[in-house]
Amino acid sequence: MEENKSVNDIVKKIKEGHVRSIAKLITLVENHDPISVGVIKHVYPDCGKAHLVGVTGPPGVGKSSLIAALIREFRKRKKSVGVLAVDPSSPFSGGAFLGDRARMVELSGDKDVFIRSLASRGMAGGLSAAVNDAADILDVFGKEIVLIETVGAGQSEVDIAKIAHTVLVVLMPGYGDQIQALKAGMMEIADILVVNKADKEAADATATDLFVVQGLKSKRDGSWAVPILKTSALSGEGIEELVEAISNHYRFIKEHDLLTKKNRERRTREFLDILTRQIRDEFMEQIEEDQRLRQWVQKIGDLELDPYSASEQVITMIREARQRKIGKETGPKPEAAQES
Amino acid sequence: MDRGIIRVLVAKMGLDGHDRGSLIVTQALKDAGMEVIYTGLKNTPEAVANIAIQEDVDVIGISILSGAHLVLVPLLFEALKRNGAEDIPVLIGGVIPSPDFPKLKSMGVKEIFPPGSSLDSITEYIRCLKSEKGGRK
Repeated sequence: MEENKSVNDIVKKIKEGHVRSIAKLITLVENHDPISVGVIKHVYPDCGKAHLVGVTGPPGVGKSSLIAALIREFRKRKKSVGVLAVDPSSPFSGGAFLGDRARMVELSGDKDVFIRSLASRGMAGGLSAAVNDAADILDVFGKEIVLIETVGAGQSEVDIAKIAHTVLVVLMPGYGDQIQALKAGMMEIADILVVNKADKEAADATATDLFVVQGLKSKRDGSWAVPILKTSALSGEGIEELVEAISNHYRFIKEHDLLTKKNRERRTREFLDILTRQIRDEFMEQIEEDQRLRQWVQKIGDLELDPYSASEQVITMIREARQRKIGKETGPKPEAAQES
Repeated sequence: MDRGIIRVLVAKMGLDGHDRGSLIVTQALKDAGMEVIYTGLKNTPEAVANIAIQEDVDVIGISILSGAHLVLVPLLFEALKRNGAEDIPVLIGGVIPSPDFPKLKSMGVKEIFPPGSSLDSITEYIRCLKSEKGGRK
């Protein structure tokens, strides 16, 4: 009851645009609080309006400063902007130094900009587990553009491509030669390649290297030609063009039915992640309570039963139970959360 | 459900270019397992209040070495109040003359950590603040 009351209260406040409630809800998501799950169930149908833009690249290329410059340009165009900035948690203390905001100082006074720093809390893909839900929350909150900054990613931190509609891969002059650019991973997820710090020497050479390599690569989004743009977050050079390119990409994926496809893929993956986690949690709970089940699992530890056969047995049991149920009824009916 | 990790805002306001102290405190809090949001230099009190709200921090730590604490701190409290966030505790560190301690405390500052304060005393104080609150609601 108490929980239902909190959920309804938060849902109401979010729809009213109460900033503090939104911030507190993101904290609940980060802490895996069941109340946040209740809220997401209610607001889920209202998602899907925001353009999610991922910003990734190696540490020190200027992602945060570039985001600050992008916010300024989007604000000139009267867009409301949300930012989720992920920085790494210490694997030793669990603490984190979240410093991305220090590059966005003058934007903290703008009521139409909401910036939230998230610590990665043990996630390895360059994001935080809370990013998915937090992006939905900012979407429902009415942010038209949600910029997601990954931790200074290396070569395999590509989870951002599973969430964002448009991915910017940010590099800088002197980052590496064509061989670096040809490697699998980060370069493959770019919808737009950005050579930041273009005020420095050798920006042209880096852009040329990328251009040569682009010709050799397969494309992620059908016929979308990945633009290579030079920017200087410091001087503002190239920022307007970058915002244009971001809007162009969004228009392109809409026109080519890729937006719906991307959204469906993200939601299916999200569902499977949640399902897997819940089955696992449920199973762990059952083992605690059910001694026969525990003995059966112990057999695996004693090498009497191999884990593959054990897993197959469980799947067979679920399949049989499902068939018995379908025999009686017409099958499972998906139901959304009821408004209460 | 995770244990709520303590989130701290470390902020600098006004024309104050000295950030060594605040960065050392930031490191200590991080090493104590807290998530520290660092604002960088030259923020307005209004911006600090906005950041504290958006980041949903448990505590605000202000570092002041400019001597402007009696001007800036009341402005911060006003901004917090205007935004309905006067419940977030505020701590002050930096060069604060001891005769000003009572004035700052009467404005609402929870605790002051002048030069010579140990890093442990700061992290301990913040831990106690959080457990008094009995976790975040």
